[in-house]
Amino acid sequence: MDEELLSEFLTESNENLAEIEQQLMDLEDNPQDTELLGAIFRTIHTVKGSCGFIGLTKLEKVAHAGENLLSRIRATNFAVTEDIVSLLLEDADAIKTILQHLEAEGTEPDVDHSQLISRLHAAERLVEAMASGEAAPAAEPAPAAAPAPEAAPAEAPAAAKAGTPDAATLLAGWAAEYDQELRDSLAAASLATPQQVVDAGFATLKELNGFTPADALKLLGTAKAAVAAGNGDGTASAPAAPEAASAPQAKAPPAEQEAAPAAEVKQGEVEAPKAAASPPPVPVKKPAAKAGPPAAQPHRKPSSAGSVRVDVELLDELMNQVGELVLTRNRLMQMVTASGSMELMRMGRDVDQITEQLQEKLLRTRMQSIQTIWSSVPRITRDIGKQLEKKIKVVMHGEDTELDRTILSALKDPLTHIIRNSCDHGIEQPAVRRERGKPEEGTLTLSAKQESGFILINIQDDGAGIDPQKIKDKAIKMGVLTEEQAAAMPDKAALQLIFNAGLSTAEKVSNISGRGVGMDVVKTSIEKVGGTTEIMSEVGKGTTLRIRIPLTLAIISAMIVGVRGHRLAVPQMSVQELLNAPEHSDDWRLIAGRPFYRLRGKLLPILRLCDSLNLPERRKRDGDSDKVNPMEDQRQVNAGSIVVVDMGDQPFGVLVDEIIGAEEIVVKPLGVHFEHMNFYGGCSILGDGRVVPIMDCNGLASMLQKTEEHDVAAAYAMEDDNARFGQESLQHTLIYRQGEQRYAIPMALIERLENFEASRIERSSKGEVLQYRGSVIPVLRWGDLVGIPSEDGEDIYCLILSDGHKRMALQVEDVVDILEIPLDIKMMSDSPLFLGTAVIQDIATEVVDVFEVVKQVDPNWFARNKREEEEVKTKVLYAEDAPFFRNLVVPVLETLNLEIWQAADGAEAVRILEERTPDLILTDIEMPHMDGYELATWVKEHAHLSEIPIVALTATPPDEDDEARRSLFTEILLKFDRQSIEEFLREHLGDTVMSDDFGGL
Amino acid sequence: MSNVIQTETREVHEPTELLTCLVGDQWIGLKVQNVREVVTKQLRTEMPLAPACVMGLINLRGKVITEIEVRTVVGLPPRGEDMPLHVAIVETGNGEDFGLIVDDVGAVVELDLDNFEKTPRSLSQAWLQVSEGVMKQEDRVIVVVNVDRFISMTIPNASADRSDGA
Repeated sequence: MDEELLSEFLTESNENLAEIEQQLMDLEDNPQDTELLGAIFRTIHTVKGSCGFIGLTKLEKVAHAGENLLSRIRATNFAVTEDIVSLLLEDADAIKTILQHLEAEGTEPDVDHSQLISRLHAAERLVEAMASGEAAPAAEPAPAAAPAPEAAPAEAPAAAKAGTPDAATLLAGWAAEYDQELRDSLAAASLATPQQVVDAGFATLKELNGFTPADALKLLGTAKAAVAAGNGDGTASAPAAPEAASAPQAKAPPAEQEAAPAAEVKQGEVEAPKAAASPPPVPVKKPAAKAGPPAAQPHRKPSSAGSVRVDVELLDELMNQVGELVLTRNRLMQMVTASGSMELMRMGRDVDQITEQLQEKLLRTRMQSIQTIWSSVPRITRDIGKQLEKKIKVVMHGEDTELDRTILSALKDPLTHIIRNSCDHGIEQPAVRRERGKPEEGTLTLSAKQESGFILINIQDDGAGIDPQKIKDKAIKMGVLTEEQAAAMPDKAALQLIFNAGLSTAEKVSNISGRGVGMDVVKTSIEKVGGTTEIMSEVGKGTTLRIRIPLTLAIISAMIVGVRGHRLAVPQMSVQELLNAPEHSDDWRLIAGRPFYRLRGKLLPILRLCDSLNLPERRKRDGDSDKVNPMEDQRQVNAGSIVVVDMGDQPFGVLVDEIIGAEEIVVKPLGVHFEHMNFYGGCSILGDGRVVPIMDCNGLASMLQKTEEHDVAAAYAMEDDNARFGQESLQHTLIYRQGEQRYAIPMALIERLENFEASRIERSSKGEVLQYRGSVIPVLRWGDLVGIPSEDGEDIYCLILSDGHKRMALQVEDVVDILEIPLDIKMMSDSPLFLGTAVIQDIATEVVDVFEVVKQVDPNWFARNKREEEEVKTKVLYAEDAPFFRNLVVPVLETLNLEIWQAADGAEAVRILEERTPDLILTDIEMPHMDGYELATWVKEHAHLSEIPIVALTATPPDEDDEARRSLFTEILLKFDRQSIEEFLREHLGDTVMSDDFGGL
Repeated sequence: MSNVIQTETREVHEPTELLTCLVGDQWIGLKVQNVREVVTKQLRTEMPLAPACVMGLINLRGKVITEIEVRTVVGLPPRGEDMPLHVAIVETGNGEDFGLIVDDVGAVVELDLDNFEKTPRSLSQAWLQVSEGVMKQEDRVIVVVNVDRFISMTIPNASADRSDGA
């Protein structure tokens, strides 16, 4: 009984005391708030009273001294000063320390509080001395003098119905301060006199209908006091109370009735709905007890009557069980779906729904409001403020926001640290603030809100802000960054460096913060519970720290991805978006050998998971063997899906082979062998019973940094440097093989790559044909063209070349690769089939002239109409330095039946223009000797040429807003955009361009 | 029973039983108190970048267990694809379960103190590290393996400072 009593006492006291700090600080702001003062007094008073009852002498003394001071303050209407509040806070701290020790050790700590007690006494005398001049010492208002308002009217009828008027009357006497309902319960249990109550004991009392343990404890105290005062039979009337107030077993005042449940909601244990937890010991009389007038009901907080305390450990255990249930459900659902039975499906759906609800409800029971950890903030800021002589106001938004208790407790320390930092480094001295035109009082704003499965917590100060340059300087000094990296790093990224160990910009190290440890600890501890941190700051305006944290840890939704046949789970909270990144996407960039992907104008560093995890190439499953590429092992395959991960600082992409799907998974810990692998966050069991590792995105980020620190900085520098990676230097090129020889062909001309059975090629009177997409297209065998026969195989590769509505198939022996490479032709070729030879992946490769090839199959593909040839041709001056492009574009121009004057650069074009006048000028921009801009400018300066339309054909168009340059040209077209080139020419040159036979066969 | 476990995990001087397992051509003895059960080949998830001896994770009735290839730990050639295997699920002092992959499982034998000797120096370094001693039988020598020491040997960077802990 003793132990139970103690534990109840501890819980109650902790709950009551949770509020006291805030109350004292509120009192500091409003010294005249007598109601508040009363509440504080009652809290301390209760502690003192209860501990006297269970024989905690030390605690009693400490509490008593505080109570006396408070009671003196109340009596004299003394306006509390800061010092008094500090002293009272100290007293509250001492009480809490003792309680903590009691909780941990079961005994009072061996600490001498005599000094504190004597200071409290001194303060008490001081208060009296100061007050005696101004206010006549009013009689101490007896707590019990404020009668429970509902008690009087409710009492009589209820008692009458209960059929035990004696008991009710007795109780109304000595226990008047208690609720009617409680007294009814007592009456129902035949506990009418103080002696009876004392005899019944705590255990019985707390089981009574409507009694909280707090009620029981108080009642026991009251009863004991009454017995001690010789009123064991309860016949003496209420006025006994004032004397009792000085005794340890003093009566608890009525207002506490409200305070206790209120505290209960906010602090400590998690509440679960009560399911008729305390049946009255005398069931027969229950109706009577319940017959209390409904008017009395609203006074009770439903939360106290309708809730039970649950051991947190039990909840955790329950959570684990539900976790297992979720896993089992996942497996079951797979089997049910596979079974195809409707009946099973219906059943499965029910199980599914119930599990989901169970999970959700249970998660909710584990939730606590963030107020539980925020409540200490005002105290911290007050203390720091006093110490540093700063004025700091705390504003909170969204205190009711709820989080899983595990996460909440993990957040407490980091939060404290951040607050200290903000107060210490952020908010300036009042004088400085005044100078800067800010209010002297700094504001610390805490806000929390829920957003799609996450909690966003902002901690914002209106202080001096952080100068990114300072951080960069420090980082350079410490060798974290090189100067070039620092210069290239955006301010926002530089700010995040503050989370690195050892970086603190405080010029003066104080004992509050600024030792350079801390922010890194903050980051790691938040990351440990799956959260992210981000810092934003504006010099002179203030700093905001943003924490993004999942609502709960145990069950997370995750993306299941596939890499080289391995399945991995990526927590959805870290996933910003998913990108499909085909191998020949234009957005791939290779910088210093590292892959990047261009996403909305930014270069996203890519972590190739197969490389990072050292996963060798696996043969794909039999089902899709037709696309197995013999070169895949040797080259870097940049193909698959990119999971864009944003951990708050720098987003990055994780390249995986496939996205398998999303699944709710239960996080299980990994064994000791994986402890040092920070890229694993745990593991889970999927629906098919297989274990899947869960990746930790912070760990993945550090893998990326390890290898790419320098390149990331480089990427920043080059972020919008289009020219470097423009299409001019890199083009998608398909490499195919015939015998031992390799050939390259620009992808731009290939519509599709097909792989099918050799028998699909049919013979017709016009040669070989293929039925393709509803039409019959000619087939050209590359082996026949170059005289190297294909090896016989069941399947063949065909490149489908397309131009407008015309198609043809080019059969090749094998497709080697598709690369994004610069096509640098080293050697011209004698054969008309080739543009020349280029070295690709250290292998001499013939670059195919597609137009020549096409002519082989259909000389009329680019045929000119005889009628056209008789007419006057439109003359086009075409300036282009690269033969490769000339060879690409000229055939296009030829098909349009134009007369083409070619120039190798701007200077040559000028020489031609000095002699002849074309109808149109087509020019590249980047050219040696004289570039496209210079050429266009030159043309505009000559009156007889100034009306000629100039079209730029380029891979690097001038900036959208570079009007001066853009206006030089009638039109700016992309080199490879044949469609647009054709359209433009047709439109502009009108009838003179013959296009009849281009459209179809 | 619990009494026995407590004393037995420290020293081998009390009567105890061993589960014998075959690894290569060496018989080893695992104290039965350490062995939870023996299972056959399970669906295994390989863990990229795991230590070489860690073959992956298995799901044993909802519990995730790390599988360790004993052959690799004691320096024997790797297990071939089609070699049979058994997995002894063992529990270590810190409460984590592991699956030890062995070639075969023999029987439970009583530890015969009369024939129990200190580990001969002639055994390989790996055996010396995990052995608590050997028990000689007519036709074979059983190396009595200390499971805790064995597991700590397989943990990267931890084997050095934990090898003599148990």
